[in-house]
Amino acid sequence: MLRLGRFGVLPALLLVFCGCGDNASLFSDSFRNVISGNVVPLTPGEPSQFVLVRMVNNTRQAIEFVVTAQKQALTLDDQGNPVIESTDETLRMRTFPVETANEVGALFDCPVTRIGLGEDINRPFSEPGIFLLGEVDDPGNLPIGGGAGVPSNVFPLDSTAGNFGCGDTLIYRVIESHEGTGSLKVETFVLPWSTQPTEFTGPHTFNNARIFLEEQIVEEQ
Amino acid sequence: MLGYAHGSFARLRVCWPGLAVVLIALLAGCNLNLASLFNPSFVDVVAGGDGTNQLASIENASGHVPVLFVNNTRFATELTSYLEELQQAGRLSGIDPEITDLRQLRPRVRMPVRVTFSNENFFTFEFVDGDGVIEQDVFSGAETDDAELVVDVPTDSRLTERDLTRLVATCDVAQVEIDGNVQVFVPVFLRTIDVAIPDFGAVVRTVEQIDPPQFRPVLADEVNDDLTVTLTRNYSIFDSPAPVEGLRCGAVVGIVLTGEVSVPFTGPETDPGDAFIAAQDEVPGYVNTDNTAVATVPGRFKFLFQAR
Repeated sequence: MLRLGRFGVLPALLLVFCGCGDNASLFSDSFRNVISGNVVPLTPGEPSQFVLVRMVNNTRQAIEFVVTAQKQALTLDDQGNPVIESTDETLRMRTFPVETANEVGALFDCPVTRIGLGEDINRPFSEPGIFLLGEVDDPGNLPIGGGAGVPSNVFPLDSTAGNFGCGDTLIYRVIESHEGTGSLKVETFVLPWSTQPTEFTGPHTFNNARIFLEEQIVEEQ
Repeated sequence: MLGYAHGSFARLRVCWPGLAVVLIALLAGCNLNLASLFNPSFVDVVAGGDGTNQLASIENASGHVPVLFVNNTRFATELTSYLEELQQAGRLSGIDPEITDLRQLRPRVRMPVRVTFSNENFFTFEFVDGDGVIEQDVFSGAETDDAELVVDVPTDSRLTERDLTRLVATCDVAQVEIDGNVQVFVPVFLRTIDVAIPDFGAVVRTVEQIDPPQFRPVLADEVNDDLTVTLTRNYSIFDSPAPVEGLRCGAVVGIVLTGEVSVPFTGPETDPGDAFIAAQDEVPGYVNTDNTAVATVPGRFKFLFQAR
């Protein structure tokens, strides 16, 4: 039989009432999400109609990622013939070699056909996909110039080939490696939303993001 | 398990597990800033680096905080009408072919933003959005057979660079704030007119200066100690963009900029060399003594920060 005594009751009470505000948890949401998940989503999920691309910098340099999302739509040309029209959306995003600031993400609206690094994702072995900005101590004083461009040497991910789908999280990570160009290597990961929980104790991040954007469109009208 | 602590005073019965819980609870700080003790780096120490990430070859993020920018600005009616006349004269470039009505144009906006994390690291970036329309060419002076471009339109790569309106940061984000001046692109030339009133004869208006299309900072109204506005600029101090703090992991930060891009209009110079300018009753610009008009450039705006 477990005897708590009054000295056991006191810590139990502390556990119960140690809210000190709205959050009655001992641990931060981010910590609990790492340990057990189900706090906040790690993938957008198909209902939000986003694809999340995470760019992770595990080097000692500031790095700019050039990520391009290609979208293809079936349209009609002037003669009424169906043609596939391709549009690219390219973002340039900088990361810094310090914890938390070494990672940044981008949200693309579905449907996305292909995603890769570089302005032209058809040339991953020659088109610069990342730019090396050097070892910086202060993210506020980045060099004005674009840095040295390095091909990613990874093929673009293709949704038609089943590499990813709407609602998934794609991850591009740059590590230091003697195997890669410029002593860097790019790795690609996919986190499918179908493997993730759908109920969360915290905010539904990406659903809320979609609602916010749609509210702005309504206001414009 | 109960134990006994021996001391010079009365013996004290101690519940060691309970004591451990108390210490952890105090260290956790009840979601105060001390909760950073349980940040991912601490987890690595406790779990040996692969406690719960044992199957993934890359650690999952602890969560995300999307930062979204919505550009809800418009060109003022008078400026839109002037842009339409420029378009008809073939002097407006950078229009998206899909735009059939210039009232659909969205002014080009640059917004520097800083994201600070709970570990005090930070990064800065710039939201960019809007249409890069720009007035082409302007002539000044007497018209000649070989009219020369007097004022070169500057090449501003920020008109053609990629838009960025969404960024996703990793938890834990402590603060999101505007870092510096928001800038709006004024797509037309602005004339500074000098007005000379002679003793006899008509008023003579001459061009003192022509400012090319460029990004202009959005500035707060100037106020005195009583917070009475002494000079109206671009936004009220009561609408100043304030940092968003106390963000929960998984929150969404939305920044909305509303308002109108506008410029003052004034009569053109006397006998302008440019036939287009000569045909206008008013052109973008101001008399050189009108400081109030100068201060209103590039328009009137309002910031709205949301966190959900």
